Amino acid sequence: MNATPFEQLANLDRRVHDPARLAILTALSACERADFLFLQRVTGLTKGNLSSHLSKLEEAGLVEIEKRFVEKKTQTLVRLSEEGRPAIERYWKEMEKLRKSAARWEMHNLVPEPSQG
Amino acid sequence: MENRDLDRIRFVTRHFHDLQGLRSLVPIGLITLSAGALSAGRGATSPVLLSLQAVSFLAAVLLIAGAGRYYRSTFGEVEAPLDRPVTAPYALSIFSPAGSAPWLGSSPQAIPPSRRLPVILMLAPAAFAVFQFLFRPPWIKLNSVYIYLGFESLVPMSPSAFKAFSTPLIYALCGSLFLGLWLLRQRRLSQSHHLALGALLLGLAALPVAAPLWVALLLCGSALVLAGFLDHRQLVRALGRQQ
Repeated sequence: MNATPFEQLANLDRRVHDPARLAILTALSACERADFLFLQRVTGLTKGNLSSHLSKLEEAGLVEIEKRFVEKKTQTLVRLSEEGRPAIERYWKEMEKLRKSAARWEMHNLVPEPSQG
Repeated sequence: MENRDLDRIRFVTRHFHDLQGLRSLVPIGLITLSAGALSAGRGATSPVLLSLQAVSFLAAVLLIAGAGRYYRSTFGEVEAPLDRPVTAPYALSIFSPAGSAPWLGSSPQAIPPSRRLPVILMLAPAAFAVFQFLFRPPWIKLNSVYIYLGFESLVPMSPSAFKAFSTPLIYALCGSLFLGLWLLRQRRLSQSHHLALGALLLGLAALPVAAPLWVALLLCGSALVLAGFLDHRQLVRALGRQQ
């Protein structure tokens, strides 16, 4: 039996299904590696927020963080892990399924508005 | 987080290096402008041309030397993606997955970086040949065989033949470059300035009256500088927010 859109929504990967984390993972999925400054610029997050989300993504095993010194400054480089890349692709596929089932559900459950007068 | 936000993030990240106009197109345009001024002022010592030549060349050198550092320190660094297929589709509005989100389409396949240069290099002669064939065919058809007439007149490379050949070739090369950039950047609306400039220059290449070489160089140089600034502006607008 097919799951309802609501069940599918509940089963989405919560590590990815958050606006800030989705933005970070989307950026990382379009490149090999990006540094902290770029991620901050492209997502519009504050330093603290970005740092917190990156820590959560690292704990979840979706990204790998590397720190190195460039011109006496610390540079933080972030990349999708081996688990992270398929996780985001799986998330897109789940969203595609969800869209289709939501459209079907709407078609079958739409109650016409009662006519006035 | 809307479709367009995720789309913007994906596009800017994937084309981060391409959009650094001050590092690529603007210096190339300034060097072309300098070459145009040199070509226009051959044999003459016009102070305007000399200063245009010197200023453009100097500005190009300064940009080549400093623009990379500016982009790194202002916007950070991105390593280009490996040549792997891109399968990620656009997202729905994630706050209303069952509601008003209009559509979910597959993301256009981006051409891997290693294939970009060959694509542009192949596009230029192809576009040149097509335009020559359509508007000023250097061939004649004799007993179902095409004979190329242009070659004999070009072998001695008389000044008139050189002028007739070089000016449309420069327009075609530059126009093809713009057209190639527009194609490689997924034919997006935000990149339509490349399409407009490409169409304009390819149209000039097809004109039956060849302009002097320096005019072509100045026009192409100006177009490159303009396109570079527009790319730079797009990057700044896309990454401008810093909290």
